[in-house]
Order: sequence, then C-alpha cells, then structure tokens
Amino acid sequence: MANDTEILHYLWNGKLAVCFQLDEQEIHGIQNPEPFYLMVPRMSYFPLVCDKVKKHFVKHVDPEKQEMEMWLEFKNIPLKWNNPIGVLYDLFTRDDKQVDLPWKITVHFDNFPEDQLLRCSCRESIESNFMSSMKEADMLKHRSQVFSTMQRHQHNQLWTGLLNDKFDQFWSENKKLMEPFEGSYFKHIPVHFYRSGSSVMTQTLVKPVSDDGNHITLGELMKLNYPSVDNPKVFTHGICIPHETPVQWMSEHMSYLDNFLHLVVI
Amino acid sequence: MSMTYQQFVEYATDLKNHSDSIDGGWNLRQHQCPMILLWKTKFPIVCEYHILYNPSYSCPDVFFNMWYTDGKLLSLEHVWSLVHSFLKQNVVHDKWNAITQEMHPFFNSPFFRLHPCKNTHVLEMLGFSSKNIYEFNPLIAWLSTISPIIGLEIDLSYGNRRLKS
Repeated sequence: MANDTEILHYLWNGKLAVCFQLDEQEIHGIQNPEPFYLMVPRMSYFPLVCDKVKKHFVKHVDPEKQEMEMWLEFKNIPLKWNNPIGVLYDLFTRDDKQVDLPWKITVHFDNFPEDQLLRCSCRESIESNFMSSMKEADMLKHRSQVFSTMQRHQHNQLWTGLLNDKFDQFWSENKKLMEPFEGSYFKHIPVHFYRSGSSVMTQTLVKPVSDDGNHITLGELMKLNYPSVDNPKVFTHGICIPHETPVQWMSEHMSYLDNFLHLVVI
Repeated sequence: MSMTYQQFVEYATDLKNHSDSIDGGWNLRQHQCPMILLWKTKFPIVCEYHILYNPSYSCPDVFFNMWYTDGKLLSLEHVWSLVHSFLKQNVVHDKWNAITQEMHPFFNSPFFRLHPCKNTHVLEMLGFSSKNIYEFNPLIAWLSTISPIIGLEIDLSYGNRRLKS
C-alpha cells in the first residue's frame, strides 16, 4: 500500500497561485473590482475554496444577478468544478509549457453554461460527486468491498479531511482504500485520461499486472490506450511521469483524493 | 450479479428490435460502445434517455435529461420531485446517492443519472446472475423496475415476450 508518505505529503501540499478577475461585461457600477489572489490546493475543488472569491466580486455585479451561481472560465473554456483544481490546470499544458502563474481565471455570475457544467447549488452536490467517485474507484480496486463496509463516520472522515485540508484525518481512512485486493495489486486501476487542450475525459478498464504476472508500466499503458501517439508525455500534479513507473505504484501514491489517477496526455 | 458487456449488447439489441416492431422509438447508436436512446415529449417537458454499459460496475447505466420546451434544463430538485409517488420517499430520503447530475461519458455534457450502485442493487433483487440463461430479457426487467424513478413509461408488450437468441 501507499508507503511513501513523503510523496503523499508533497502532493497534498501542492498549490497553485490563482488571480481571479470578474468578467468585464458583468461589472455593474463605475468602480472596477480589484483582482483577487489566492493560493489554492491542487488536490481540492474550486467550489470548496471560492467562498471569499464570491464575497469579493458579488457586490460588483447587477443586484438582480447576485443570487446566481458563480462559475469560472479560462480562455473561454468553462472550468468543470467536478474535476480537481490541479487537473483543470494541467489540461492547459501544451508542449511541456505550463500556463503562467498566477493562473488568470475569469469569474462569472451570468449565463451559466448549463450544457457544459454540472450545477453546484450546495455543498451536498460536491460531496455527493466526490464520494461517488471514491465509491467507483473502490469498485474498480476491490469490487467495492472496502468502501461499502466502511461506517458513515469513516466516510465523513474522508470528506472532512478534504474539506479542512487535514492530511492525517483523510489518510487514516484512505489507507484502507489503498490496500491491495489480492497479492500486491488492485483488481483494476481507477484512471481518468485526458488529452491536453481538451476537457473530454475517457476511462477504460486498466489492469495493474499483465497475464504473465509482470507489473504494467505507464509506458505499456500508453501503448495500449494511445497506440497512435508517438512517445506521449504524461502529466499529473504538474509532473511529467517517467514511462517505466508501475501503474500500481502510481495509483497508490499519485491518485487525487477521489482515488482516481487523472492523467493528462500530451 | 454483474452483467457482462456481451450480455448487455445482446439484451440492448433485443430491446431495440422489439421497440422497432411496435414503433417504440428506441435507437441504437455506436459510440465508444453501443448505447440505446429514446426521446419523449411529455408536454411541457422533453426527455432524453440513454442506456449504456458501465464497465466499472459491470451493469447497465441510465443517463437522462429533461428540458422545458423552451430549452431550459430542469433543476435537480425538480427531477427529484418527478419521481413516482410510491418510490418518492425512498429516493428523497437518500437523494444525493440516488439521482444526481453527472458528466455523460460519451458527450462530455451534464446529464441526470441514477447512481449505478442502485442498478446493481436492482439486478441483485431480480436475482440476476451473468451465468444464467434467460427466457426473458433482464435488461427490460431492470429498466421497468427503475422506470418510475426516471419518469419513463414502458409499454407492457416489452414484458410478455421471450428473449430471442
């Protein structure tokens, strides 16, 4: 299981500097709002860290629109709050070049793109989305035998660990979800694949071990899933991952908190 | 109780074939995997249903959207309120684990979805096993069980015919 706690801590503490600006069209009144700067955890989700952002900008929009749901956009692409922040950022990496920091994100209240974004009316929608991912990940890893036997308070530990940025609280339960299923492997590896520059997610059944009993590496996985891409670079948490890395090790150490690996292929 | 992908394709094709014979409106489309879909208008609401295979849960998965005729999407609260009265208590009690909005795996856009663990639960209750050979189509048995939750009406003729193989 996830033994290398130094890496777990390192990834947990990964942060991005973000500069939020209100869309110019939505500024109501003569005074332009100042941009709002924030260090946000890569592992978290925008609606969990944006209360202050909303408070800062809401007084600068038309009073009739202040009750509307705030949403974010970068380069005219609405940001899917249901993906971890670090994934959203890495999706814009092109040819090794990451987006300049601070990451300049535009804030909107009007014209919610309901054909592109999930509604996020309250905390429960984030919690339900997050827990549902964890449950699916455990279905893949252990045929759901770990998550479904956990008590409600254990599920709460996972959620509040994320909510309050408490590593120990989260990992005290999450380590159970990272135990191998049989021998030293999971049944399947929960992975979400993305191509850089696109927000389309694809998912396939990924095995950690080959039929002849050898562990499967990232390079082998890429050959299987992207046979036409020549020497693909794979990013997660802003790091380019060496192709010889075993996917089982990656799943245990480099998954986001929803227990999925989110791999951006360039 | 898990359904194999091959079984899903067989059952979905059978459902579609019967639908064709009664002008039921189900279409079969090929995306990354086959998916059957249906459009229905129940004025003033337009509904779209997609049934596809969920490889993580090894079970059928239902995604649906509901719009007003002016094109505006219904709120999740409204979708919960449309659950048939005899199941509403159960769904509302556990609503965040029953129907939520999710990204459609093929279209990358938001759809409502009955959580797949409910589908595996229904298949289990129906005594489904991938090892058995069925006289009647288990996908139809599952769909008719969950249909009151998602506002879908299924013609009775789907139920009283044998599975052709």
